[in-house]
Amino acid sequence: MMTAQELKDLASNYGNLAHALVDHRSTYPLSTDAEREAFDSKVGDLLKTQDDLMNQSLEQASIDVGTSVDALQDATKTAAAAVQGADTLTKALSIAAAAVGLGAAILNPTPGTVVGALDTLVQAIQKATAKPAGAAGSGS
Amino acid sequence: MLVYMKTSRAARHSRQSIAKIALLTSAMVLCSCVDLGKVSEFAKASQDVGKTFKSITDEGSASCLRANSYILPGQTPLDCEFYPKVAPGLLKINDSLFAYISGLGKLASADPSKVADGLKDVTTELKQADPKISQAAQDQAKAATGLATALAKVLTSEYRQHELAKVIEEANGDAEHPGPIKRVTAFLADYAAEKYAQGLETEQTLETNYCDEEAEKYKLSEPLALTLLKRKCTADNARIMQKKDAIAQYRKALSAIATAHQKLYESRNAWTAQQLVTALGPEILQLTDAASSMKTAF
Repeated sequence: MMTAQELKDLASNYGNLAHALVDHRSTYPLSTDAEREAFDSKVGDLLKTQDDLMNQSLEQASIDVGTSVDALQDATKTAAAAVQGADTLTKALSIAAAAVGLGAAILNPTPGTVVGALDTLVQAIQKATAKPAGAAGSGS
Repeated sequence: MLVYMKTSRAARHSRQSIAKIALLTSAMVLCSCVDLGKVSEFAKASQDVGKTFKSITDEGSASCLRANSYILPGQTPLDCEFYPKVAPGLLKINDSLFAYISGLGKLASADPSKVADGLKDVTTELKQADPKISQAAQDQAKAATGLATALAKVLTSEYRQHELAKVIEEANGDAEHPGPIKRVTAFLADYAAEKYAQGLETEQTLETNYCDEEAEKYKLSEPLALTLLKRKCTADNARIMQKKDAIAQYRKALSAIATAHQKLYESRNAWTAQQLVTALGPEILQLTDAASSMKTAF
């Protein structure tokens, strides 16, 4: 069960994630309208998720997410750091998209959906932060 | 001779009684009177914070509308209807908290002379108690009346302390059963302040993104517009930061109120002026700082 305070913390993580995505733009400016549209849409979705989670917490409602709350908090915190460190727009947007999916699953949980969405986010983070082949063990 | 002796004994008895009253009264004046001025000061400092909350609720709606003005294609506008819907209820809760604190202040600072006025017939009562009271004794009784006034003040002070302690005990509750003061301050900090802070953060993120987008668009074609845009974005960012800081101060003020109230609760049966000064001093400073920040920001 996710408590009101945990929902609030998660909402804050989504706010940080949206902010991280906007920061990413200042390092990697967008060049086409299609990129801008995709980017703006994800920023908006993340902020909407933050707002929805916050409002849910204000109703003092708890949500049965069917998985570890710590895992959700960790994944969304890691996602913000991963977005900041992502070296391409595609990687940053794939993390954002997975996070939005997870937020939707948390807000409307059905058996297995949150676990599945969490797994998708974790994979997106791993993919975005994976070192290119040959980079590992370069010192040996 | 016998008459003289009787009169003399009666006068001596009367003087001794007055002296006893005077001594007892002086002792009570020295032992019991606690200056509750710090409680009044704490209450006054709180009021300035309480009054500014209305500005925060107004800012919630305004911030949401500004944030929606930065919505770009593909983004869903925020639900700004939320703010005017919740504001009246939140204001009532905020007002109830600060009305209570104000009540504490009034109870602590009630003018004891007004209560003493009701006791001005003490001289008559003394006379009734000793109809044979001599002129000299009556003159002394006048002094006793002054002491009786002081006694009335002390009694009033004790009564006020007692009442204050009782009220504080009920409002504070304990660790297992937190009373209204703890629940209301926590609610306002967690619910109201956090929601308004989040609203400002959303505005900040949307505006930053909007500014970046416009800058990307105009950086080559409109250098002057770009400069003006950057200036506006920087100024807006500073304004939002100031408001966020003021909301953080409001939350700190709520925490200071809860802490000060807890201190009053813990020492409710053994207040001394020095204790009150030491206990409430830091919270009064905190509240004054918070009120100042909030007034500047809103």
